[in-house]
Amino acid sequence: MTNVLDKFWQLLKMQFKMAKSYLPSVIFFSIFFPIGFLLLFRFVASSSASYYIISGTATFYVFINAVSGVAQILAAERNRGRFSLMIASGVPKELYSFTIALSAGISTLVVVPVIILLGELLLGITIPLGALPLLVISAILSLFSSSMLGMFMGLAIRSQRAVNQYSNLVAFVLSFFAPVYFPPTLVPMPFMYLTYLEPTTYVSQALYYSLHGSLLSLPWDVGVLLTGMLFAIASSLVRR
Amino acid sequence: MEVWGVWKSFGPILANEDISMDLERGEIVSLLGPNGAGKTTLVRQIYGELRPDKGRISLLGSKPSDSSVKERVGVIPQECSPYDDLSVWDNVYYVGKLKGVKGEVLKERIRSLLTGLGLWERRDSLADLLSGGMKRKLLIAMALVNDPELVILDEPTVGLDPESRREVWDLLNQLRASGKGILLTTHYLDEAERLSDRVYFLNRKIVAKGTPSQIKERFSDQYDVIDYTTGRTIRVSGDKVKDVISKMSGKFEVRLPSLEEIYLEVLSDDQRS
Ligand SMILES: Nc1ncnc2c1ncn2[C@@H]1O[C@H](COP(=O)(O)OP(=O)(O)O)[C@@H](O)[C@H]1O
Ligand SMILES: [Mg+2]
Repeated sequence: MTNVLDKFWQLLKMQFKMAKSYLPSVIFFSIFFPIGFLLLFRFVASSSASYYIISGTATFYVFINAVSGVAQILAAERNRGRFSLMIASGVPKELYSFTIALSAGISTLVVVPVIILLGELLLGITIPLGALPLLVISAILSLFSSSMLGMFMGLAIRSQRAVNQYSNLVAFVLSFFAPVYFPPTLVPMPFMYLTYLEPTTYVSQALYYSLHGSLLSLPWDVGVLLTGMLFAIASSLVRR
Repeated sequence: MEVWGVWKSFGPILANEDISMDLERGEIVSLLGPNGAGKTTLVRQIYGELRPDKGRISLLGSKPSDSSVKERVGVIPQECSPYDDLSVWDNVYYVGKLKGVKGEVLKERIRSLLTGLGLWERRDSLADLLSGGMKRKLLIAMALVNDPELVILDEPTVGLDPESRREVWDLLNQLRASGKGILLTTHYLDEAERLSDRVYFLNRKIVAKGTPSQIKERFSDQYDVIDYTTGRTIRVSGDKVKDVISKMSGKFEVRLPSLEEIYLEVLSDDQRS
């Protein structure tokens, strides 16, 4: 066990050393994404929708970044024989994928508080201090779920090109064909059940209630956790 | 290292059929075969990335999936590249850490490996900036950082220029001299012929094996006579060579068929049967 933890630690250090050179600029440019979305929605939506604008934009951002980021990095790692290299160095495939998913996802996580702060500034809402722990939980779980979905796509789809195309697409579909900018109850009946198959539904609701500092976020958090675990299990079943 | 009766399929594709082979310390053994012959599949089972459907593999007395045995083996997988965004030093350092090499020993070993491979001056530059040959050498350093008893290299010289190829060959010879066992896959026949103590011809199953000269001897009662005036090559049996060259006016060359020609013959026989 200590051995696995030590390897995990070494792999994380390795990943961060690699990300160091481009991470600051990625984060800098990422800020324009929520600014654009928040301003757009401020003009077209009523102010009562402010919380959903924030939770929806955060969900969209997390998924578009983490899913495609993780999927594409993993597919590239496969192509470059890194899985073989790592397995030959005694690192299990699952541990390697998980570390990459985690470290690729973390750059995404940095932008979530930025989205919330910008939301406060641009949309003029105040978020209670008590919301902080709930937001942290929801944000980390949403990162987990989206990274695991990315990991599944990166490992399950054969070619790099296909991974790139699907992973970009899926984030859009999951963000706009799901109740991400509005409550699930607004979805007409037969389709409402379908939306519960989408991880983004849980993520957005969890963030929405967390923004209010409401404990109602916790059941949604459980949903997020379950979707993430589902993707993790699916990934470990992919045989190559 | 020893392999007994290994079979491996991918769905309907049979990649390895009943393969048995072995490798001792201090020798270079080559797996030689055309693309798609199943070399990489076999090698991936040997270093524990894939599990055989049937059969058994023993790696330094352990199972390939055993994580402790990985600390005693060095591998360069096929089409593998170092981490572009890490420095040369860090590439070797982290692989060393992952393989359980500790502190000062690790630093000292990296220093001597990088010096020996001519990479010491470049230790702080990103791997991305290295030439193809240098990247391959870096991979070699990564594979050797744990001072392995057994080294496995899948197509180590593919895509290298002749000079870099020769450097890799020299290095493999040095490794052999230091008593390590080396398993090499290649589809270059000259490489197998020059380097290996023993060769296995692989085409899904093993179609021939032995030392390069044993194989040559077994398959050749024929000589190639190259007539430099016409540029033609004639295949003649041993007793006729003198007749043929006596009729030639310009320069000529007589040689045993290369391993390549034998190899092509063996493969076509194999496909016919
Ligand atoms: N992961 C895989 N999935 C399906 N087929 C594979 C896989 N790996 C190899 N093969 C097939 O197995 C055969 C042997 O491939 P390989 O071992 O890579 O040959 P070589 O290394 O000798 O070129 C080929 O027909 C190849 O297409
Ligand atoms: Mg191969």
